[in-house]
Amino acid sequence: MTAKNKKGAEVRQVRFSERRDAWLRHHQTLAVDSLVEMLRRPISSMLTWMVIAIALSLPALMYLFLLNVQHVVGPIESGAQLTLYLDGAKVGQSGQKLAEDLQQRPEIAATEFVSAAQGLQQFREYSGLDDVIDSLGENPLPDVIVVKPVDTTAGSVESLKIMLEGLPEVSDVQLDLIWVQRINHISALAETLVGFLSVLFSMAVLLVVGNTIRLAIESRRAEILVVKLVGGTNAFVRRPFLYMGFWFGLAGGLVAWGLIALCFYLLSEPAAELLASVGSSGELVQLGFGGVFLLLVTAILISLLGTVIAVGRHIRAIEPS
Amino acid sequence: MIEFDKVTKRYKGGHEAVTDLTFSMAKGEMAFLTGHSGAGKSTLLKLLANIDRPTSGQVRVAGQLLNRMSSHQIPFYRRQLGIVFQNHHLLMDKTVFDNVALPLVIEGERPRDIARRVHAALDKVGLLDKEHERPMVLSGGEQQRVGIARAVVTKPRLLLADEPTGNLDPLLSREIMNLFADFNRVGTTVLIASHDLGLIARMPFRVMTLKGGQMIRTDRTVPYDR
Ligand SMILES: Nc1ncnc2c1ncn2[C@@H]1O[C@H](COP(=O)(O)OP(=O)(O)O)[C@@H](O)[C@H]1O
Ligand SMILES: [Mg+2]
Repeated sequence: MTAKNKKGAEVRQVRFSERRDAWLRHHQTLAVDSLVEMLRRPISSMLTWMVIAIALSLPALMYLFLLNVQHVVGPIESGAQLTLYLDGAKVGQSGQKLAEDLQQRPEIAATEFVSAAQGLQQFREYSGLDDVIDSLGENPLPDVIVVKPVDTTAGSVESLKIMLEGLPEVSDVQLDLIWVQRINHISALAETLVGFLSVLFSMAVLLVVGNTIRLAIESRRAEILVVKLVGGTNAFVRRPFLYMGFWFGLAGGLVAWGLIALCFYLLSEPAAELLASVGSSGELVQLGFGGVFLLLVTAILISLLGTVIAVGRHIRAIEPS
Repeated sequence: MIEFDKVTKRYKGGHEAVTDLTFSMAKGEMAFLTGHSGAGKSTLLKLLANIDRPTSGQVRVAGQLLNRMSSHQIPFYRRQLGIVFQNHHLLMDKTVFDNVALPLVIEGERPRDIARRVHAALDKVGLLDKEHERPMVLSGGEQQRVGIARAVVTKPRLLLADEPTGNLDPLLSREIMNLFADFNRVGTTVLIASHDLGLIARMPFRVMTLKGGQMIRTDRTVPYDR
């Protein structure tokens, strides 16, 4: 390389880094300007933030509600149990022994033997139907063993049930799981519903931001024409609006966070009482750091997408004539 | 610098604004484009700025064929021009400085360079003391000079002006025309549309006369003493 060439390369290098600095500064200016622009019209900006915030906080709250229901139901679910009705003729007096044998099995966490007499006594206590029971003369109840499985997932409980039904001393097995399954079904249904609503609400955000940006573009139509007349590219014209979309998304996300926090504040006391009444020791599942981050990122991305769509459609259409 | 080859521009509805126009301008030349209202002066300038495209024929500027230019290339082509518009096209909510700086910001110049060049351009048009004002509070002549400063701040090779003295008094008009002549003296090619015949006649530049979209005269006036 000759000295002259080297000098040229250096000059280009300097020129390039200067350009990059200018470009960065241009973006900084744009970011600040578009923020100021948004804040200069607080009323109309706030309307947009609120719409974004409501549309995002509703599905977020529904999702959190679901999480909490599952959180409360979860511990109860582990109480899934099987009731074995024993055949009195075959078992005789060895029901207690059978219960102890069953407890040795690895898939069974605990067993409890309830003799027919104990069962009748329990029934008497909580029904209060002493007269009726006395008139029966003979105890109609069978001996019962309550079995708590180790693994409470539906499949393994089901196979445990089949095994227990095969025991000769057992006349019938009842799975006390049906309502847990129902809750699981309902919560799966609710999850799908929340997912669907989230998509709908996201589209609402897209449309609202798109419309806000469209209005902003219209109101600066004259300026855009001038910029294009003196050689501004579409990308140059787009840039401030993209920043505006970013700020709208961030502001909307922050307001949504505020709404969710407010909701949790209002619900904290009744929720604590409810949790205590169902015997759950846990606390409410909150949005958390990750949740807030996800909420803000989602808000910004959806808002930017709405902006990109609006900007792509409307800026190209503005051409000097 | 400018070559028109059998250029016709027909607007929607079939009206021909310019018809079979052929002329050229040399690099560094200055010329006036004149003719009655509706003669096609603005249309010709719009063809040069690639705001409109010819219906037929070819327009070349500095060797570039404008007909074929993609919409992606047009902004970069326009950066080579300085255009002074009849109605200024200034940004009314920005300062004079920001208005003049716009083409430089678009090109991504450094703030320090931008300030230096904007000040030089404003100094040239005599508005250095008005840089922080908004165009709204300026007189018509001052607004026009802001437009000129913005057109020349990038040191374009070709300067186009559409009725730059449209509604200014004779003295101011004369000053502005002299300003254009100054830019021409340092090598800029200048084309000015104007129907101010009295003013044009006293300047030593070529005059092209349009009528009904056709070039009916192109000649030079006698050089004069300024
Ligand atoms: N966008 C347009 N659509 C239709 N006709 C137009 C348009 N622009 C100009 N014209 C017509 O073209 C002719 C030339 O107009 P113009 O170039 O503006 O003339 P000048 O600038 O010399 O007054 C006029 O008859 C005008 O009505
Ligand atoms: Mg005109």
